[in-house]
Amino acid sequence: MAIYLDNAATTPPDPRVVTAVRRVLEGEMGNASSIHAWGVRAATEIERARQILVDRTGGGDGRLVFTSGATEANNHVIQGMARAAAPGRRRILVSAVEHPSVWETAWSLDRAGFTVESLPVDGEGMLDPDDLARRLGDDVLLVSVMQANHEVGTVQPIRDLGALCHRAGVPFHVDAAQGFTKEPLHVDDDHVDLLTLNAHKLHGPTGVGALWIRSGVPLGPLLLGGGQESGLRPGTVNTAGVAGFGAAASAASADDILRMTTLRDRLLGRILGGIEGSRLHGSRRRLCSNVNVGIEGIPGKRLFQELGRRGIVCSTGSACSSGSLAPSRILLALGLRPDRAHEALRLSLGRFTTEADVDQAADALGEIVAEIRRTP
Amino acid sequence: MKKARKSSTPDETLDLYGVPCPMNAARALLTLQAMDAGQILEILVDDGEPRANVPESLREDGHEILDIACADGRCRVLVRVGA
Repeated sequence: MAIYLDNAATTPPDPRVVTAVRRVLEGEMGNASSIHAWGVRAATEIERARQILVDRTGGGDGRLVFTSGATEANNHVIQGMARAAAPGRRRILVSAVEHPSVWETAWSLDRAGFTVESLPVDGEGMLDPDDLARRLGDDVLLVSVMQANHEVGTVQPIRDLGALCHRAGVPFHVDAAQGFTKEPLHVDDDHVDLLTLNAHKLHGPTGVGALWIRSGVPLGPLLLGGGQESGLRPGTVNTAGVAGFGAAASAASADDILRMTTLRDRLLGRILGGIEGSRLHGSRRRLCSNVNVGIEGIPGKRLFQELGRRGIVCSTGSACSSGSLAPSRILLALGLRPDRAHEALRLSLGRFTTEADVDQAADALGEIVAEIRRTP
Repeated sequence: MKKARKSSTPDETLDLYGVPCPMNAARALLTLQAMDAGQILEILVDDGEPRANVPESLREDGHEILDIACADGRCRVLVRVGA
């Protein structure tokens, strides 16, 4: 029986999500833009999910539009804000540990007359609000910071950063792809103007995400050719995926967080307490689902392969870069040397992870390390 | 506190001005689903397509349209929640 510890890449769908998706696929659902009964049924599924997501993010004054995922939502924010930029606002501030869909999109604008600044993080992956405060000004177009990091799980001080942005009159974008439902987030209390969400990190379907936009933020559509989603995201809405997204957000509970936190700490304790030369990557202030460690002298790739042979599925970094030979940009931003960054192993937990899973993973890792050290 | 209901005094009001079809009907149906049978919902919709479509969708779903009054391009629809 395989043990799945790559939930930061994607999560297996919850049965309640499967039920919701089936309800749409097997029901008499039309195009959610059609005004006949079949269209109204589809639209009702979409509006139900929209309300669930709006409620779970604080119900602020704004619009939530569905997208194909977090990558599209992040592209929409960065490219859309650049298109709407006032002439005097040419600086874009993004954290050094952003997901590529923010990072690469922002830097693509560097060639289009904008200036991108990377906000540095400390050795735990944490941003410094004082550093942000020094950089803010009326020439800043946007600040984009992830709620929680996809590789090391560090949770950023979103409320402090958001308060600084609002005081300076600068729109604040938060990519909550990893943290949504695992960490608290309230668009008003946390001063968020633009919020990226996705479904498949919380046991929902792949291919569906959302972007929440505060009223008054001048964001237009990125795609053209239809009036769906208040004209902000043309294209027939993925009704089944959206219904699954709503079900996934409804299913997420405080019990999940408590369980995952306990299991995460058990796994971390077994590794750091039981394997010589092991170290934690990231902060103690981390996602309940994230374990990222390095074992001195052993490439993460080798551990990943040996664990895979024993049916334990994990990652050496983010799913997007696991095929890459270059050291992780995220770990380098934390100050790790390239050889140390190559040692990273990410074990990420989900709702269905059990105590037996983490114990077997810890046992297997200990055995693999011992074998490698016996026969280097 | 809910108002004491007699005749057609609304228990809740839903503002759907500017919401296009069929999202307006969808939101109205979701609101009605959360109410008790016999309660009354006041829905504010634009005249024209919404005024034509929304009451029809609610009727199809088993709710009773009590009144529709329009003025200056805006309509007030009173609906009794079906069983």
